[in-house]
Amino acid sequence: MHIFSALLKHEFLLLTRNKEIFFTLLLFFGLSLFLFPFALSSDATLLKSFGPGLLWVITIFTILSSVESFYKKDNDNSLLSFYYIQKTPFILVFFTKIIAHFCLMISILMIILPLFGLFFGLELKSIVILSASLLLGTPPLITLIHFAIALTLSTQKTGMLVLVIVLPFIIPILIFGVGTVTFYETGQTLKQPFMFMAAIFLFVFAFVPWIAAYALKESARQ
Amino acid sequence: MLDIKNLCFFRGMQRILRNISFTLNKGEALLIKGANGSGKTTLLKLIAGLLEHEDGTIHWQGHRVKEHNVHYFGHSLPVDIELTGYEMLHFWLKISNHRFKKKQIEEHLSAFKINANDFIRTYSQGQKKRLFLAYYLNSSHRPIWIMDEIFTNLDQEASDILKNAIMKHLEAGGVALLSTHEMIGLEGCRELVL
Repeated sequence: MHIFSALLKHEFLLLTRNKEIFFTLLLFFGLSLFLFPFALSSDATLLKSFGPGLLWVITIFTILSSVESFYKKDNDNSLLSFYYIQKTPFILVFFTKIIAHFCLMISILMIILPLFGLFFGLELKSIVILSASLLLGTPPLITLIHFAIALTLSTQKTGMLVLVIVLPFIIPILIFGVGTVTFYETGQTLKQPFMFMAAIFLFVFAFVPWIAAYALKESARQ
Repeated sequence: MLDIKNLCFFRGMQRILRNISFTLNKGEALLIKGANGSGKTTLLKLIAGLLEHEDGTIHWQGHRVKEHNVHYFGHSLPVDIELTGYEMLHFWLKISNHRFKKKQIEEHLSAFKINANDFIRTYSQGQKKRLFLAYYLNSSHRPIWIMDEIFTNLDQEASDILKNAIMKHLEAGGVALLSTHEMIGLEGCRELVL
């Protein structure tokens, strides 16, 4: 347990020291949401219907653009090799990175969501439902993207490969994530999309971290 | 006894190491020499288990070498430049299951003239090496010490501390493998030229 807490503390320490990542992602998120209403339409109904999908897509792009920073340095400075020699369980290394990334995303979304509601004219209940879907959807999303990075860490260029690996798995999360708000606004029960998202959550966490941990361990031996 | 027999390693189609064999008895050290690209780092990584060998055997006391047999000082150091010297050393020690009090860690750092609260990004290459050395020599319960270019960038004082530590380790029945381009003056050290 003390290894898990040491790894977690290490990840959070690096996050707090490297504030550039937080502010870059916040700026990317903020600018995207600020510019889209100008580019799309000033029609309030149209903005309201596009809004949740847009927020989900920007969330995916933000996770994709920030994931490499969690691994590149560890691979470059041979920290992964250090973990290997010390017999550190790579499943713990993987989980601490997911937790740190999730906290980073949640802290950004907490700032962004009120602004998003304002720009896209969403009512409070829609924002609450969207927040709940993001809370349930971002952990498997982050896990899948980290999994892809773990698989491709030993290759030189990971960008396109990561997209190809994770795209088929991201789409169901995106559909049901956006679907929660659509279901609410059309007066349908929310049970169905949330049950599907919970199922994806459980499925991803049952299998993916173990394979990712194995891939990380192998990367340490390159 | 560390027993290496007919060790071969290929990278793609290129043969990096060919039929390397040697034996190190307890208390012996081996200095691995060779030109750049001759495979010194590869050989050390193979023994540490950081690379998989195609042919040959690497045995310690008759069994395959395991990670917990090896104490590895690699060519690139696992440092995070955003941390302070204290934070980094504290992290390494925790990960390797060593529990030290804050005061003890600070003493280890000051023994290597490292300011505990300075960020690693301000360190020179030699200071980074001394920081890892502070970890390396205070967590040294494993029998096979593997040190890749460990003396490079170290000043005389740190080199002397390291040499004394290696001699003590050998006296206690451990073995040491070192790669270097420099004359290090370690007594009774065998040589292997790649």
